[in-house]
Amino acid sequence: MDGDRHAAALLVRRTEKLVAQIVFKMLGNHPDRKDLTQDIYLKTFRYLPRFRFQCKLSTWVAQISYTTCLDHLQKYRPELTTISAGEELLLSNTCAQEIAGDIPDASQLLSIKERSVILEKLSTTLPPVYRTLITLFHKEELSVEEIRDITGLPVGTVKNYLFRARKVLKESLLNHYSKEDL
Amino acid sequence: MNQVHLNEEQFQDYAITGIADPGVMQHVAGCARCQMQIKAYQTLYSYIREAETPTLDFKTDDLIPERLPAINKEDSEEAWYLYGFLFGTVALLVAGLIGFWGTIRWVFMDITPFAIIIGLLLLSGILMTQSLEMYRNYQKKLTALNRKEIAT
Ligand SMILES: [Zn+2]
Repeated sequence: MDGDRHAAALLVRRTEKLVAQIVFKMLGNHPDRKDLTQDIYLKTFRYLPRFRFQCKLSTWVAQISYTTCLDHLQKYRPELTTISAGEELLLSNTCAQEIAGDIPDASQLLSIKERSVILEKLSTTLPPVYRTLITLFHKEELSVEEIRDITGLPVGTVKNYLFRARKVLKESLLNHYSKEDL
Repeated sequence: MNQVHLNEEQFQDYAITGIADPGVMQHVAGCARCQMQIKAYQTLYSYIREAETPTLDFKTDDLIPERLPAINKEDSEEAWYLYGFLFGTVALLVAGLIGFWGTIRWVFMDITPFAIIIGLLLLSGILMTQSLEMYRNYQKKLTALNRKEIAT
């Protein structure tokens, strides 16, 4: 009994950062966050006997996290989950590319906290799925194949979403700095 | 110098890998516009990489359900199918024995008590091996938690 609880605590500790990333990126600062995270681990322990070692355990827990969050969004905020094939994510401002000035080298001196705040601000225009994919790829350094396993999206779609998300974020970044410079 | 600016995909890839065809590299070296785009992507990537990891604002213990072992066992559908199948088979055999006892009783007439004991021992042996196997499988899954492959 104690051994099981110990192993369970170990599983939670080893995966909670990745789970937190997915939950925060998918839902933001949502009040149901705690319930959903509990739900994720409840499912994890319940389905553990069915885990067949076809992928890493962390990938499997991430997969449960992603589907749980996506189900929740589809139920309560379906508009956030619909991404049509040809949809362009447009910025509210004029094309940043044309008006942007240099990214000040002073940005290198910003603290991690300040950079996180800027990134958070830039990410608000992105749909939750895009935010999650970007984080999994660039922050958690997962491969496109691992992201495919987690999200169930085809590799081509993962690449396409990553491309579009990066483009939007880059333009937001240029926009941000050009505004700061003005 | 190659006059064609890089496309968006090339900006993104260049910012990740830092490598491209010699012609492309040469263009970038002399083009402020492309340099700015690449720098923007590089800055973006570093922001994402260095961003603070969100932390769950509640205790890890809160995430472990109270009835841990029960939850693990109760929902293992495959195991239940197996048990159902085994139980069904045994029930059918017993029903057959009872139903056709008159016709097949001669088969059992010559069996010695010793053979019956051996049979019972064999049966309990099989059952014990089966339960042990299930327990080992369950332990194997939990042991996997100690593997390095789990993201830390
Ligand atoms: Zn150029």
